[in-house]
Amino acid sequence: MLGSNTLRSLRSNVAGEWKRIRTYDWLKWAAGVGDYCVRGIMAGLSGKELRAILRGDVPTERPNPRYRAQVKSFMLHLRPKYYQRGSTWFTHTWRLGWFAVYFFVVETITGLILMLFYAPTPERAYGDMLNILSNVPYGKFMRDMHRLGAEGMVAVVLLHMVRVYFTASYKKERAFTWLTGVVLLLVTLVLSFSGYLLPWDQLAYWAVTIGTSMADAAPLVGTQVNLLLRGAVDIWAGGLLRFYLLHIFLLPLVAIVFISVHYYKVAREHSISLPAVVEEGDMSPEEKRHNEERIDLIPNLIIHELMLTSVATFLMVVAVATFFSAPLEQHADQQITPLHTEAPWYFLWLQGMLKLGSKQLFGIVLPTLIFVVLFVVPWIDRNPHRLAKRRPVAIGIGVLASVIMLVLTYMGTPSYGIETPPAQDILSVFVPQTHPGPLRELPWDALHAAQTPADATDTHRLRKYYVSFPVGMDKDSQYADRDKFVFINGLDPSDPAFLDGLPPDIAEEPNSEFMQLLVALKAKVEQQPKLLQRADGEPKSMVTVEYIQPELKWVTASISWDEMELDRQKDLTYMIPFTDYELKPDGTVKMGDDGKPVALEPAKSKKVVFDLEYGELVDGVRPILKDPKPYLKDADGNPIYFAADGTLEVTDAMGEKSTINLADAKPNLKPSVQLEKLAIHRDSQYHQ
Amino acid sequence: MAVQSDILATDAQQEMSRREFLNYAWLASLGLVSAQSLVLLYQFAMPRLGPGEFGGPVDIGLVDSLPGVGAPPEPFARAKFWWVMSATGARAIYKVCTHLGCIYQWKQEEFKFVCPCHGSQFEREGKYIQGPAGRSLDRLVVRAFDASGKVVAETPPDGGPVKIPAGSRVVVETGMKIIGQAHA
Repeated sequence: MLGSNTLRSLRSNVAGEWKRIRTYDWLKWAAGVGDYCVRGIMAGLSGKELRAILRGDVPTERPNPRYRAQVKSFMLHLRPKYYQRGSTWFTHTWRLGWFAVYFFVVETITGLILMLFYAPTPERAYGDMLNILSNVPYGKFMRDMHRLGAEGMVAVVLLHMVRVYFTASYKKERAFTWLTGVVLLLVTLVLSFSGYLLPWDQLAYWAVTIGTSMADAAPLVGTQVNLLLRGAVDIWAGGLLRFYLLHIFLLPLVAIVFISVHYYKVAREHSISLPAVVEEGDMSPEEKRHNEERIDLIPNLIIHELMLTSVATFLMVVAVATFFSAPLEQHADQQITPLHTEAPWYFLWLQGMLKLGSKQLFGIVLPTLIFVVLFVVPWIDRNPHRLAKRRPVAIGIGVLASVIMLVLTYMGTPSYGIETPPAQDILSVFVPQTHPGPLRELPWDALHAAQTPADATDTHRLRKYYVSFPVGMDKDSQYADRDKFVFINGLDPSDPAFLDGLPPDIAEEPNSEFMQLLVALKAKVEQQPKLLQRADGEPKSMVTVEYIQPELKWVTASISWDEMELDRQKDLTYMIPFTDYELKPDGTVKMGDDGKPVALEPAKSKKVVFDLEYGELVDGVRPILKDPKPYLKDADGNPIYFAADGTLEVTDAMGEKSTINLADAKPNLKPSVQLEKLAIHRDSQYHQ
Repeated sequence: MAVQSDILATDAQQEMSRREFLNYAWLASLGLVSAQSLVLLYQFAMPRLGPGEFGGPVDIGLVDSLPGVGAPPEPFARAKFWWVMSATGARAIYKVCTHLGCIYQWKQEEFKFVCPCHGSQFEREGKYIQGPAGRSLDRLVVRAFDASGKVVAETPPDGGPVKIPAGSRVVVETGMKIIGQAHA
């Protein structure tokens, strides 16, 4: 039984507790709990302190909790507590090292997201790319961000090195940091290049084939390295998997290790260099002292970095949303190397060097030498000064090296030093094989097909644009229907004669993007002297647009010309009709299925070469000197000259003798056509 | 030298202690295992080329069914070579450009092989004409077998043409590549 006293005391206890609960300052308690939590997460910084940081106020407590946070927090302990004011000048560092890390983080995030929808096998990779681009929400956005970030990272790392070189920030205690930086440059280049293969399109496949076969040229280990990289003789499933693993695992790991070593030296040992003017320029002592003052990381610099992150991300998103679009070519094809396979821009210098000569020297020895020299720059340059005027040789070499790199980069582009047949060359500008190109990128509505339906189905409305044509063809009555036959008259859209060749729907806007393309094509075709007008009257250049289905247009671009064949010594060649027969390996005549001997293509059989001798170059032309001496070539390539009367006795494979006469010789002209065909879909991703 | 003798002041310090010896032993064994695992990794990652893949012998049929003298070169996609028959004999020319590994094409009109990547050009028999390639095209070994399966003709070691007797079966050894001749 409970005694009454016990009951009374219990009641008063409950009443007392109740009063305490009612009057307790719960707000203060909650604030205390909140503060505890915030401090626990934010390395001892209170909410009030955080706000003071964002406001740029002085610390709210003593001792300075911000310094304490830099000891307690792992992320903050990576950073130095303060910088000298001079080293934070924007025009001194351009924040390039910071941007390199920024892009590395962007690549990690976007790369991880892309991996959700990508499998590195030849059967799936390209299809996965199409899925990412057309089906996955924000898939194209992520891919474009990843690509833009990669290009940005390479650019920023390169510029960072250039900056450090020109401000002489690699000297003395910073030598080892420079060395790790060159390693990071290499890692960045390889990281970016290893990602190049993953879309599994033509460009990727061939750029990487060229890249890895450069390794093949290395002495002793070349073949092994090439096999290890490709996982087979050619890049296929094994190679794709190996590049994928390099790209997503090994190289990022190496990058993280070297970024850590590199940044540890900066953060803990020597900090960012002061500008040379502060260190050894003629600055007033006050100014100098001002620039050597400490600026704390928190708050000023960390807030600056917050701003840089926002602005950089914003700019990337804007670029991806407006103009930047990572290309995707056709599916990789082992049997067809596209014309003008171009290395990524940061390897064009290498491609340029390769055009100069041997693969061993220009593909392996010189690039290795360049990187070796880069590695040891701090030990080559013993000059203790940092001001530009006190290191003219180093600055001169730096400028010269930059110019050489730019020239080599230009030489790496397809426009330099590669002889392609002129028609192919011209068409590849309008319909390239490695990227969409101007014709494919035109808006759907800009490609005008014929307006009048050919039949009730309203399809197959074909319009021919005669870009370059024989004189008077546009006046010919059979081409009078301007809806079907359009003529590009001259190169000036404001010329009234130009309008004569156009149908009403185009004449309204004779200067449209499409017309400009056609005019440019006309100019290129007509300026190329090697494209002779076809003897059969075929127009030299034509573009057709055919409306095939409500969602589909076919566009072709063609160049037709007569090719005047020259032989290897640039001698003119003529043809004399003559029939010869294909031989079997034992020298007997090969018989066809019908029991008759197999005749060789007549045009090939007796080629007369006019042995020309050329004079000195005058105005870009070598004049032909003497009367040409016509001859035939025997099996070994030795000339057999014609008799004075222009005849020659020849024997065919059947052993029958006959006489051929120079009088029958015809110029070795071959009617030739180069044609590119595009199927343009209304919803194509290329129409921006 | 003076510094060194300071460091190694006494005989006791010069002698290797048991602990020092053991530590060297640990380090040496770790180094050995690391080196071995590199060899292991190399062997593990090296691709193995079995029969049937590119790298083994490829039977392309009877010589009489193949293009003859004067006919355009015939491409063999899977086995990666061009079959070229001249009056002097047959060649199997490896399909890959000796410059940087692109697939060059035969241009019948120009009567030469042209590489689309960097513009190297080669004659019908694979001899270098112009461009950045450092050597003539590589050759694969061609073997001719008679009906009893005996080798009756084989590409000479210099990669020159091989005369193939009529009626024999032609096999191209895709694993046996003869490097083209470097030009001056």
